Amino acid sequence: MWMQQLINGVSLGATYSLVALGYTLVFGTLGIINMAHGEIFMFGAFFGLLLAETGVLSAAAMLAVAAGGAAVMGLLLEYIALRPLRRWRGGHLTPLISTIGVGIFLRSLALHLFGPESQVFPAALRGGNYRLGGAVVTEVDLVILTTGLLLMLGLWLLLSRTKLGKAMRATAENEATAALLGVNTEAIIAVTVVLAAALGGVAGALVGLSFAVSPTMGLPYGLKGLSIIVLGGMGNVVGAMAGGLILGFAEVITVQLFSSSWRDAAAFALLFLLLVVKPEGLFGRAHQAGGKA
Amino acid sequence: MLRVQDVHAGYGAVKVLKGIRLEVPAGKIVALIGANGAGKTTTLRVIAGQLRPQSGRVSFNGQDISRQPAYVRPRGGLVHVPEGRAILARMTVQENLEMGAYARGDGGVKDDLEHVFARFPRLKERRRQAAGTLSGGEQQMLAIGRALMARPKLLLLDEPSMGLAPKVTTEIFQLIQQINREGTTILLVEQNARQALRIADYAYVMETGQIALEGPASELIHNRRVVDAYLGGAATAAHR
Amino acid sequence: MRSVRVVLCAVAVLVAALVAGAVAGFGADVAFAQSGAWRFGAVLVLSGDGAAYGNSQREGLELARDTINAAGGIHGMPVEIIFEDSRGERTDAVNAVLKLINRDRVLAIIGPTYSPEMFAAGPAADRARVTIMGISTTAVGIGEIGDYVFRNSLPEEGVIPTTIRVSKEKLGYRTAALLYSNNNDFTKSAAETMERELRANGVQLVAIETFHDGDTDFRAQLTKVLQANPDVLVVSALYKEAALLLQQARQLGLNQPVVGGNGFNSPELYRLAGEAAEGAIVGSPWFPGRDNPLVKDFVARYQERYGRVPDQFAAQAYDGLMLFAEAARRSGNPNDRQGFRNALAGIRNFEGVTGLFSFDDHGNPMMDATILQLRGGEYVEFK
Repeated sequence: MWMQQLINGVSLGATYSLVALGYTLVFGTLGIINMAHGEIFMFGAFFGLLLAETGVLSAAAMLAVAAGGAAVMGLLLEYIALRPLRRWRGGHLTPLISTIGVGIFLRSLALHLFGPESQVFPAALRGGNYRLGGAVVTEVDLVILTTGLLLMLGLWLLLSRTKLGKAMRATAENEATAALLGVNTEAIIAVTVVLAAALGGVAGALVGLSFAVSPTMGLPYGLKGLSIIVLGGMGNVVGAMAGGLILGFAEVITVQLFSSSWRDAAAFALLFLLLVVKPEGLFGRAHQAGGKA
Repeated sequence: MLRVQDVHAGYGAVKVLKGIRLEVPAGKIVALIGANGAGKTTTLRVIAGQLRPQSGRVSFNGQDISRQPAYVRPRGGLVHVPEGRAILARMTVQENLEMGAYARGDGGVKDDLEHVFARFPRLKERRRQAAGTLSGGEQQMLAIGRALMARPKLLLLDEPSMGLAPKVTTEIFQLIQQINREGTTILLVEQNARQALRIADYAYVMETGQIALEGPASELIHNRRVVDAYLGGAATAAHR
Repeated sequence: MRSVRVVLCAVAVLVAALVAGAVAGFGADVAFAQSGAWRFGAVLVLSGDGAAYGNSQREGLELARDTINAAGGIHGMPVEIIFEDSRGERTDAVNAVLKLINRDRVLAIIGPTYSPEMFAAGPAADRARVTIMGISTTAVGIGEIGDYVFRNSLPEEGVIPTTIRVSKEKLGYRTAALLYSNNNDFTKSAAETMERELRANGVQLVAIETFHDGDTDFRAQLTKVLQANPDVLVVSALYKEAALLLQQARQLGLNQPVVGGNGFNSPELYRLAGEAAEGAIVGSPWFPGRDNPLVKDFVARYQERYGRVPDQFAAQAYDGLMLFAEAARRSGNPNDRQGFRNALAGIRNFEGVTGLFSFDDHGNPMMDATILQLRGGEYVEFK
């Protein structure tokens, strides 16, 4: 049974990590929490579902459509809700509130477009199960875990190895300095928001494939994603992945050892304890003086 | 090389620059000195594109760049090392240097990196370290090294000696002279007027947003007004 | 041009009047022996978000009224219903009830649609000593509001005992795992009833696991249930969580029979869970497919008139007016509100389309639910 709970923890944690990656990217670059990320995640799931309903039963095509559709939403978010506020220099609270507004709008829009009911992907796309030493693991779980790890690796390489990634980090640390070095920071920010949205879209499509798609699905995942980036260290990609897995494990172990009614409480108690011991998060670095101007 | 003509600029309703005009000829070191709040840093910010002038014109190599965004300017060889050094503390020393070459499209970055490391062996030792862990002097060297990675034609330096020990300050000034000898034109803003005038070819003295005085540095260093006000020559000298 | 339009309009109005007359004529042809009428009021949500409920109820009431009047009324007098729209608002419900009592001088009132409306309007009717009966109010404590407050709608707490008793008899399970959403009042209180009834029937609870509305991954809980290896899974959840839970349970190899709460009554359950919901057992206060002549007759006539199968709201409304008719028959006087109340309270073993019906001492219903099972995506009676 521990084998099964281990698998349960990994597959649950992997879905959390997927959501957290997009959050952490935007936070790391813009220093803002994109409260509409959960809704972009939800729309990603619907984009994937709409494609599947046309009869295209390919997981790769579905993820591509979800990523593409969500990327366009990310671009709109940047141009409508984030960029004008940067011009206006409203501080960090204004984009937080404007993204909350965008989130509410997107949720109502989804209710209007798709109705309040939950919907599921065609069974053919969900694949089967594998047995692993008496435990069961689904194909979707494996896809989620692999996608999560690949995206984490890809993001980590992007941020640490490429010119674009370094420009993103420089912009994150200090926009004015990055601009002096020749970085078109507005473009970098737009690219980051779009990339994070695409990640959110992929996460939504995978979670939707694994469970169900509904206009409200973004809310609980958004909340979990937020706590994970706090747990893993704000803006840290490896931290987001590890944080998601840890939260997943914590929940599963709480259910197994104690009681399911303590599930969320225990997970958040863990978060709280960790923040007391290590306020910058597991993989976070203590903020340097002269970080963000 | 650089020409600033009748520039007015400020922050909101506060006017800081009231008709600045200065010129930096190619190959020279030009110093801009003056008291705190005279507008020196603001002048550099306008030249670097961080602040839009309300009127007037900034031209670089004969081209009007007044409306050009800040991030485009390094591509033309106009590189600014701002006050407080503005190193990227969370990135490593080497990444900071690599970011210096961001605006360049050519492939010589690796060689230039080796040149910078050769010039600053301490940076090489700490190449994998987060830049925020460096000492003040090392950070200033990193800032200048990073600027050199852009292969600047004109280097704007804002208070490079600020907060540094006297010995390190001397080192920095020697370094500036050396860079200049290698062909880079320099516009230097300094509180430390004596050292600045010593290495500069020409100098401007700013007072309350205007150029109060200008001339060859070797003359200004003996000018009564300059000596009294900025070089602490007389007992009555006071910072305005 | 204008005159042509006027003529067209007049023709349209005439045609509409003729059609309406033809429909209404079915009831109007009967000559009533006596003057006077049984005048009832109905306070329903006829506009706004809950309008679908209220309109089903209105249809059920109208069908019942026309059925009674076509058969000669009650003691030779026709039944009349004055409809009032509460819009789901408590103040509107209270105002409608006061208007029906004081201006329209009704004998008794059906409605309001929602429990909170009843908690506001019920006391007003009770003070005026006018009978008021909820036909869809399922909250605890409705009948207890006062002597004049009744309801014929079976709450989930009334369905579950039958569900557990019947499923235990047929399946013979001895151990059970209870899984429920504990941040929703309905599913939580249903789970408490389930636990009580399971124990009362001598079933041992080997696992009790909870989750939240909005949760999607139940595998940690289900893995724990797997270890306890119960004979049956008892689930109290909204349909969405129930569907995901069933899918994951089957995935993990939990193939035991499943007994569910009201969330399992939604056709959405099968749409989401598919095969995983096959065989699920649920109790329901209303089942249009029941093999009973009264039900078949009602469903056929409703379908003929409104073009669709009557839902729970229509069925309970239909039975509601039929109960009023029975009380009227017993009391005999359309102006005696006190006599009507006593006659209604005395009704036992009344056969309605929703089942064999009695009031308890508080005016709450005592009846057996119908136990259903999902078979090939359809609900059938569980036998």
